[in-house]
Amino acid sequence: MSTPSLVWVRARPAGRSLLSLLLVVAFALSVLAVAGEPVAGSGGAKAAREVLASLLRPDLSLPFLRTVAEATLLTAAYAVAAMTVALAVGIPGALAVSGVLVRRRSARLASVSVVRGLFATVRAIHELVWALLLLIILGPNPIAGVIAIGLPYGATVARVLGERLTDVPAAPLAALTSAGSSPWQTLFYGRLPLAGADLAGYLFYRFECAVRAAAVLSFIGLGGIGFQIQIALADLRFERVWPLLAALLVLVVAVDRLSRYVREAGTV
Amino acid sequence: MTSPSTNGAHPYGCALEGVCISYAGQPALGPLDLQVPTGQAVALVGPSGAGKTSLLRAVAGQRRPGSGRVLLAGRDISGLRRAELPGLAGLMSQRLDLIPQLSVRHNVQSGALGRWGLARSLAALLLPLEHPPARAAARRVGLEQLLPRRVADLSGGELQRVALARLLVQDPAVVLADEPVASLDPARADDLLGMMRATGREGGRTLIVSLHSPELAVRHFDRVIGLRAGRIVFDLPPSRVTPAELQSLYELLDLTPTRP
Ligand SMILES: Nc1ncnc2c1ncn2[C@@H]1O[C@H](COP(=O)(O)OP(=O)(O)OP(=O)(O)O)[C@@H](O)[C@H]1O
Ligand SMILES: [Mg+2]
Repeated sequence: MSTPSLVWVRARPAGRSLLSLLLVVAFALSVLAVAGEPVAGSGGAKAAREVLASLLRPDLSLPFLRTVAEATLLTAAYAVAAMTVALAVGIPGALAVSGVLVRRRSARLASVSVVRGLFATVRAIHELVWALLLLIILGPNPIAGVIAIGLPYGATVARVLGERLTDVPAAPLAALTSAGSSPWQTLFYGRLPLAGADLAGYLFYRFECAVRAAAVLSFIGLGGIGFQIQIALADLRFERVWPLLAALLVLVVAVDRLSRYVREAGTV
Repeated sequence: MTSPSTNGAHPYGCALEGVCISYAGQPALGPLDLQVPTGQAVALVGPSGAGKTSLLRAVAGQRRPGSGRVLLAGRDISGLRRAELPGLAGLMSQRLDLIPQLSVRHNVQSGALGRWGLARSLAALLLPLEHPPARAAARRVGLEQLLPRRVADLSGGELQRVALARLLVQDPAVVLADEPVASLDPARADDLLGMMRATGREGGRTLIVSLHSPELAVRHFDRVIGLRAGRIVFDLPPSRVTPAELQSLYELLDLTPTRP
């Protein structure tokens, strides 16, 4: 789970300041390079220069910061809603896909292969395509956006969770079973603890992906950071883009922090 | 926890009749006949590969014999309902098979899962509820102080005692243990076997334990059975187990001269 931003956050302090320095130098060089551009008249270069120049004077006015804060909260809320859908689909899905609750082997194989095929199909379609489909069916509204993210994520969660629940050592589970534990009891006393903090970590990683997806899917009627960036770009108000991007970064990092906190605190 | 099982009245805690076990066509055990009176403590000794684990797994109902019958309290094991087995026989395997991520309390409690519904099991897992039999079992094996600890953080000897406490909570009429002291120092081994003996006596339980050490078998058990190549070589009270008997039991097959 290493998106560039996370690598950045996880670098050691010494490495981090060195990295900062390198980035600043690279940035300065790139600005100089653009400033010294000979074809100064061309539109592309002019736009690029404006974009970069805007970085030096981001819009930090109070009313706009308010907008940024609201947009950030909205994006977070949509991500939470999408994750809720993903879990509502993914957790029962994981149990079905893995077949861990079915005692009889033949019944397990049959149910597993059917459900697995279904989820593979849902997963094969990217959330952007789901968004387009749902846009046609439901029109532009937040619910379409939330489902567009939640559905394929749910199918992915079902698969990964299902695998983790299956790939646990068999002997401790057999010991529970021989003490009279039912498949449901074995799920809670054996499989989930054995699959461990890994599970929480994975779900938070999905949450992080949902935040980014929620920011991207603004066109389908999800407000939030993506929507605000879209407006700012349309108005050529680049100085507003940077605070919005920074807010997205803060959000993703916050989810990552929360994830680590939960995993470290976690003995089930 | 220590109340005698309702089946305790039957004269034989467990009996094997012509039991054979083979793996992929290779015979590993038997044909074997064996009767263990209720409440008796039996030690199984024999070289590696003799079939000790196979025998214990057959009695625990974890491996169906290729032929022959296993009887628990007089009842054929193959005719039991799933829910009946945990009360009749319970096996502590050599690897213990605990759940490292859970606390000692939850591992010990999991012995009761066969008697609990799902709601009760979940409540016991998620709420700080006290299950008196689990505490009593933990106290019995000297683990009461460690109840909140994660099993992953325990020493080998402590792990053995957690597994024993779990089995006490399960409360089977026949307690089976596969080399429970293999990883313990001599003092702890004595301690654990003494504890198994005592809890067995308290509950009128039948005890069958495989051991690598004949001395421990002789010291702690009512009856010592020597197993070799899947057959019973001797079956004696501890006072009559002689060094010659043990020597022939453990002799390396290839080097076997004529028996002394
Ligand atoms: N799952 C299995 N598959 C194939 N062969 C097996 C299996 N389990 C046991 N065996 C074989 O059956 C024979 C008896 O094995 P068993 O594990 O019962 O012996 P044991 O007396 O417990 O030995 P040890 O003291 O080493 O634990 C051995 O020859 C072993 O190789
Ligand atoms: Mg063995």
